Amino acid sequence: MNTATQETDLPTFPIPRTDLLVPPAEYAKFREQGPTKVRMWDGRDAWVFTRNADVRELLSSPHFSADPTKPGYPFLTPARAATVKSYQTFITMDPPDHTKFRRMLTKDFTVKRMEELRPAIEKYVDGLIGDMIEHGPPCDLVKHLALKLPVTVVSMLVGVPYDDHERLVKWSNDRLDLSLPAEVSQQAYKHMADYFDQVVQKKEKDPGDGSDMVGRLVLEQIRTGNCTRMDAVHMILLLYFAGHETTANQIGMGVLNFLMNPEQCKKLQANPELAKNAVEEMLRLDTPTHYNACRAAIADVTIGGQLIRAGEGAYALLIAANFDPAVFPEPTKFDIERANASAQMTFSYGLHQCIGQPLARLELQTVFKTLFQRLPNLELAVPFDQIPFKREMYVYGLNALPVRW
Amino acid sequence: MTTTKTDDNQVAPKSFRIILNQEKCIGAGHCVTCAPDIFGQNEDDGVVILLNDNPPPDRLAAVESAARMCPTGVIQVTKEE
Repeated sequence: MNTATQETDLPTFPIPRTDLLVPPAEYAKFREQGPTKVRMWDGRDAWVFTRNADVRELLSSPHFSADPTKPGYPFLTPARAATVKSYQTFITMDPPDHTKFRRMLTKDFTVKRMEELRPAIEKYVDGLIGDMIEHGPPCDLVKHLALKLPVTVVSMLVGVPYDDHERLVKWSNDRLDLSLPAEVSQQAYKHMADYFDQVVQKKEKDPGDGSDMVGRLVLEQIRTGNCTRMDAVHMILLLYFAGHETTANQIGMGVLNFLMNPEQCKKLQANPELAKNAVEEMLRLDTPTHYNACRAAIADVTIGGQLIRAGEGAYALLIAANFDPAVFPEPTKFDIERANASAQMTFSYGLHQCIGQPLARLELQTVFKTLFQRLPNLELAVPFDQIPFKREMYVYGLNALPVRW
Repeated sequence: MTTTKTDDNQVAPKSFRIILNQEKCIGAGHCVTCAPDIFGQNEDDGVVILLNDNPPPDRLAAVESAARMCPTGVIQVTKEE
């Protein structure tokens, strides 16, 4: 067992965001040093990796575990530590369990499946923009589009009524709020688990032909004994939760990027095919997953020239990797024609790379191909300093984006 | 097989082989997006399948792109000498 050396003057972590649009300045200092040891809220230490190459190396290494029950696994706050008491899903598993469970859902996210979903997504986006236009300015883009679209899509995907979303989103928010006590986070999770338990139980009584996700899980995985009902409940919960929060935040911040960079907006309007690369660039610049990814070393391993011992915790900071000037010159610049934008790491890397990324991309690309064509004069309806940012949330984004046209 | 120069002084593309380590595949599908003529996905679990085990040499760049984008290093490209 590794006993943390009681080094004084270690930087504390996490580092609160003071600048709303770029990561903490400390990450650039860490990047210069290389792997950096930090002190956490509970007196434990962890390693922080900020260089793009080191983040890739760590996340590709079989010597790091995603399992929060492993010794040394770091927790940002007491609320995050409470997650270890939640039921585990493949997001916090290592192979072979990770492989087994993840592969129960990958067929819903294939390239072919996304192409099948494309017309429905385009229809939703057109409808939501139409509703915004009908509502008239000023309008909260987060409420009417950024949040509404992914919630609609993920509700359809897992087969829950859209109308249930208000309480589901509230519970999700409680879960992600780093400032709330651990008990609130746990209680929120319990509510969500109870809700999805009802959903799965209903499907168990009548799975239909298995053409929908939950029905298919019942027929192919629960009834065959490949997984339990609770396994399925928690996987669906994970998809619902991860499937709306992150995408909603990215849509909001992506729109803001364009509102603050009018020349980039004009480029997109002149050539909507740039939406594809613009989406990669906004993923890089905004990195809603700004505290991901954490791991625990399960063997002694050298990453970025630093020996990490088994039982030590590590953050492979995706946001820092996304701002590494060695890979992305002028990293704070929003450049929708950046040649290597698709090298962004917001969806993480290695075997836990986001399962929903094709769906996220489909939603984002559809929004950004369309929004500025239909609302070419879209602008902020409030001064920048009145835009509420999710400063204390595990996933970064905007609480609201008042716009007018 | 050696490279040959064509009339406009360009090096002709080398032929290559693709080796897949399907066990590592997480079904992300980047390879399909990079080279949909070469890579497909299994209907049941989204794991990569090779659609063309004799890829034309001019597809090397697309396949190398796929190999780079793959988050778990499934795709290995061996160029013929």
